[in-house]
Amino acid sequence: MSKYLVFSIAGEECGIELSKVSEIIRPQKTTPFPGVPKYINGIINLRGVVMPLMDLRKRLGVKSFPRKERIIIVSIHNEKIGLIVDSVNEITNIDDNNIASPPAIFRGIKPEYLRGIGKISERLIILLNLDNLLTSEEILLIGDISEAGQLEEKGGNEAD
Amino acid sequence: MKKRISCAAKTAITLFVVMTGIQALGLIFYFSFIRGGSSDNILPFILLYQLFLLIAVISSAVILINKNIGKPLAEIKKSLDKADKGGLTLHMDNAGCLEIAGLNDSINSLAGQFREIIGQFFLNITNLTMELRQTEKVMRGILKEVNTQLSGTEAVILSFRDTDEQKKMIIETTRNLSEFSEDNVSSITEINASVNEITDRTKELFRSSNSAYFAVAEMSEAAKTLSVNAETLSVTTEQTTASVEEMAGNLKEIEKGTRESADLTVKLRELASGVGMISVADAMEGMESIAVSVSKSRDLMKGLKTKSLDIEMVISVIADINKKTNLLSLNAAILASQAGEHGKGFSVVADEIKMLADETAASAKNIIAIIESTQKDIAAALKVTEESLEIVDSGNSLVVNTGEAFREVIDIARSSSDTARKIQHATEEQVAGVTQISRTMELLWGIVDNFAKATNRQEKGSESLMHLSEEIKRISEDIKRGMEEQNKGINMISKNLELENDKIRHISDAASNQMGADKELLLGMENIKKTGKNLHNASEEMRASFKRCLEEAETLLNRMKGFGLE
Repeated sequence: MSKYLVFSIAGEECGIELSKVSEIIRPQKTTPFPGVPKYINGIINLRGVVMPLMDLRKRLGVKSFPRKERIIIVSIHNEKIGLIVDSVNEITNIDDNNIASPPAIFRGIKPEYLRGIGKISERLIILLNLDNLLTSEEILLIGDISEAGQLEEKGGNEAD
Repeated sequence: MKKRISCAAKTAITLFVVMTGIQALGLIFYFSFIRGGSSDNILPFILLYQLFLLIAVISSAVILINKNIGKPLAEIKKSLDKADKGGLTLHMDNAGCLEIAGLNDSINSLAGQFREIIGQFFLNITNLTMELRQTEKVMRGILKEVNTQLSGTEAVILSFRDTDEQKKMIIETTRNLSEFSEDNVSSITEINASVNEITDRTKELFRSSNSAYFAVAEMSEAAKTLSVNAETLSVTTEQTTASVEEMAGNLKEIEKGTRESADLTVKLRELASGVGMISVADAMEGMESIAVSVSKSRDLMKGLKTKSLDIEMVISVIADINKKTNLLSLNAAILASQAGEHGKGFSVVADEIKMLADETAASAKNIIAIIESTQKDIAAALKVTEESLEIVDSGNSLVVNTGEAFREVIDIARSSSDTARKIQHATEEQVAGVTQISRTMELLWGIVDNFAKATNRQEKGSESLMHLSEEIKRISEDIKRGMEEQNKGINMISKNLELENDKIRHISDAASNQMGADKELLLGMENIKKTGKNLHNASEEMRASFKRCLEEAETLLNRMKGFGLE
């Protein structure tokens, strides 16, 4: 029995462990960052903490054009990263007995990103494996980005 | 003024005087007895004297009281009884002693005041009666006027119905008229032909007579031809005379029809320009006021529409706030879960916030639905209002058209009556002309007859023949001229008749158009009549109550008169 944050991507309900979530914010002013994969939109500055912004839809290879977006701030490998989703729906409890092991491929999402399929009565919720969303290289890159952001911030502050 | 003394004092004084006198009498007796020396009999004398004194005192006291108090009081009672029976003119004599005189004065002044009050009251009642009578008279006048109005309305309605009849009569007359004119045209054509024939024959005759004039000797052959021609001429002339007479008859009928038509047209014009135009003006006024009201309501609805748009804006702000609240509740829940056990209380708050956000969202959705339906209603109402505005506009233009139709009817009636009058004049002249022609034709016939006889008696000599043939020549020329003039006149008549036919057709069309408007007008008139009847009933009731009032006042007045004032 653990808590999950349920959100929508392209009409599908996905869930991540609430323990990894730090907060939900509205779309922010994004600064482009060179030399990163396409699914990294850029970096944002959240109350002085600089972090990369990943478009989860692009990462999972689904197409969606919602009018509004939400950004979920999560911690992956102790690095904070923003995930762009269509909308955030609710916080819910899912019993471990109600989590089925992931099939080979589910609705176009690769099995390595899946943790399981959670069932709440008739609803099916795709539970994502956050740790696997990024490759080790990318984790390093993100670390760099964060560091560079911090440095930039410091530099900016010193310049002031 | 006399000095008065009280009744008691008066009585006492009189008693005192009487007693003193009796005492003096007693003393005289006594002294004469003593001088006579018969003192033995003194005791009976004294006793007798005392008895006499007692009787004298009692009787004088009774007489005095009766005179001073009893009699005046009886008189007062008599007067008051008289007053009670209606003679309020009582006046008490200023006599007697002090108390009685005072009582009389009081009664007099009381009676005087009472008379004054009653007089005033009488005057008031008389005035009231007069005014009531006046009012009753006025009411009767009003009632009469209401009746007059009612009967006037009735008459208008009747005359409206009559107008229908008259229109039908006009159409009928017009048809008769056109038939007459057709008859007339054919008669004229006949006459024309006859005239032409006469002219031809006259020429021939003229030529024949000329040759007769030049060759009297060889005339017998020509005279035979002449005789034949003369006979033919005689027959033709006779026919022409008959035709002319027929035409004269026709023309007289035409004249009669034309006069009737002119009169009817004038009547129609008066009716249309009077009642019709007033009704149209009223209807126009009513339509305008309706249009003003409807456009006002349209403006109000537009204002309402704007307001609902404002409300929609407010709702969108609420929706925005709701989204923010939702986000806040999610973040609160996340924080609560991260705080673990300590965050449990906070998670309750987060749930509350979420519930609040959900409720707000539902309310906002409801409100939006209500607003949308309201807007739809407003749009529908606005559409209906616009439609009714259009209907009012079209009604207005209908009324204006009716007014124009009325004006047109009046114009047509006027021009038609003018034309009818012209035709009447022309026809009268024509009648005179035809009468003249008829007379001339008869003369000619006689001459031709004579001529025919004369030609048979040729041997009577060429001179009379010559003379006759000259006369014939002259007369035939006259006839020719007359016929030409006649032709011109006939042409004029037929032209006028055609013009009149057109006008009459116009009138009949306009009259038919009028029928619809007339029906509505009639309906309006019926309503007016109904209102008049109501007014009449109310006036009648009012008059009855006035009459009752008057009757009561008169009863009161009679009772007042019973008091015998003046």
